[in-house]
Amino acid sequence: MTREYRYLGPDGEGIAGLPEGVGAALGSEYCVHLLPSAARMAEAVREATAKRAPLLLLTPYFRDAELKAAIPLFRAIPGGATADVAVNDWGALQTLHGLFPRMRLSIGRLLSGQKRCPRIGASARLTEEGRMWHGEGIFSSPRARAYLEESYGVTGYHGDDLPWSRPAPEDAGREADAPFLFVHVSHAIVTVADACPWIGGVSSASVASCPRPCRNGHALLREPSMGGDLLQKGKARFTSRDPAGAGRSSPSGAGAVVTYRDLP
Amino acid sequence: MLILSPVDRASEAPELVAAGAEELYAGYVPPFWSETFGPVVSCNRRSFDEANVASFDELGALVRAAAVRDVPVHVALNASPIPGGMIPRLVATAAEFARIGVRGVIVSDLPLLLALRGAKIRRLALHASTLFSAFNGMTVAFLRRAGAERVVLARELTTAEIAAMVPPAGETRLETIGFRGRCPNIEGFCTHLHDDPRRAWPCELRYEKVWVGKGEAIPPEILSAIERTEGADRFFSCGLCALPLLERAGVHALKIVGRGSETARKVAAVRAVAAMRAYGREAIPGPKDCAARGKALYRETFGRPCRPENCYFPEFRPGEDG
Repeated sequence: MTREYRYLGPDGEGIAGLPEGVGAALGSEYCVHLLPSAARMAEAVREATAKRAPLLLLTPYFRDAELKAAIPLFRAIPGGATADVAVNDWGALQTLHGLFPRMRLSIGRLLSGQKRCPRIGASARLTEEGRMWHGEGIFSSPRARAYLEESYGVTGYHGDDLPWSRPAPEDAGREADAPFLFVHVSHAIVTVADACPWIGGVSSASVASCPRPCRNGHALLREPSMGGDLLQKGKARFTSRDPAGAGRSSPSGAGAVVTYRDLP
Repeated sequence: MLILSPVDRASEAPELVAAGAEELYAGYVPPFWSETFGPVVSCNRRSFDEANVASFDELGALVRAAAVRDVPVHVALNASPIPGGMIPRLVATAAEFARIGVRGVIVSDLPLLLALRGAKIRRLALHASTLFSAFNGMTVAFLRRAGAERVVLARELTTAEIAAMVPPAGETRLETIGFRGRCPNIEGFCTHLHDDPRRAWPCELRYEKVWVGKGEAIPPEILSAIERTEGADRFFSCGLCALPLLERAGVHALKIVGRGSETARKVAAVRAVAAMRAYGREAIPGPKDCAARGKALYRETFGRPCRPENCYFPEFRPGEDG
């Protein structure tokens, strides 16, 4: 059975209102300023536990100082909590497995290797095999899966349901309580910059804290050769298969689906 | 700190070495790869012919031309992900590289890195590409454990952040990218398709913009920041100001971007980097002097002043964008 998570914004507001059996996703895959505080994380864990809802914390890439500063946030997730942490930074994986060996870690979309540029669907220069290559992900590699599980306890992988992706690998062992493949619908991250236009185009690391002006809206970017619109919010550019935000149910092979009401 | 220059053919090696290059790196696409994936999907992220050594024989000639000048050649195999069926073939190719004297391969795919580590190919160093997005010391540790002897850091780090990463890296050599080719996006997280034969990349295009959110129009400061990178020519990218400090911090090599560019451009880039490094060694300058000298050298090299959108290390532009 496919588990559903709903993205409830960086701080995971509204866990109490989730339907029975639906999990909550929070945090950010692309900006450290969109992570919840340690206090809010602890509260989200309490709310989710009371609701018996699974939690999924999405995390971005970190500089050394940012990773150090984020440790209290991770400490706020108790060992027994039904919480998954999606990492998008190999150093975060190394750190978290070392500090919290019982934490359930999964490899995030930014590390998956899947390519999501809308041009891929439109390019006349790609062969079919070349087009399909762009949907491949690290989750397809038995060698990587074995290494990451043995060395880092990784149990899951995140990806996108792309028109050019192949079905998820069938040989991946699945535990009932731990989804193997989290498929995010329907906004796929095409690219991430370190400089954020919402704070004047400087690196997000150049501000100690951010009032999150990117939560006020996004820019739709259109160029005829791209094969589809891009949506820019903060440091990330997305492509959407479902701009209306209705979501799609259970892409093939997914152990869990992460849905979004708005751009994350 | 070594100067690592791009090279595309054997005939370029003498001039690049004479200009100051101490290591060379190249691209090579084995026929089995292009036969499978076509012309756009390269095993080293450069889809145009000029950016790849034309044949295995030519690669051998390049390695020999460099070796007589005591300069090692590394080869990029930095596509990601590498489909499982391709990994044994690329490992065999890497073994062939080593046989003809290639000294390192640049890899961005974890399964390929692990396979190469397992293959234990003699005298072939494994370099973790900047596509692994090494923003912190623990990523360096992760990559070392996976087999990398050298790690190319994320391009977005500041001089101070890089300097702080050197001591904990221990014997793992750190490399930074610091001249030409600055991408507005984090390369390891960018999934844009670079398929245009005219090399008009999605990150450089000018987009029509529509605001969706509070208010009627895109706020001007956001618009201005988005437009700053549109149309920016990455050929003009530069990190010269930081060079002396990076060398003093113990960075092992500075990579110049530019596979596929004309020989004269490559040579000019190597000369500029070598001149800045020489200045750093002679004058032991502080950050202010580095900034002044770097900007002057930029103007000499490019015939125009440097701009924020082309700057690798904005900390040397105080009051402008950092």
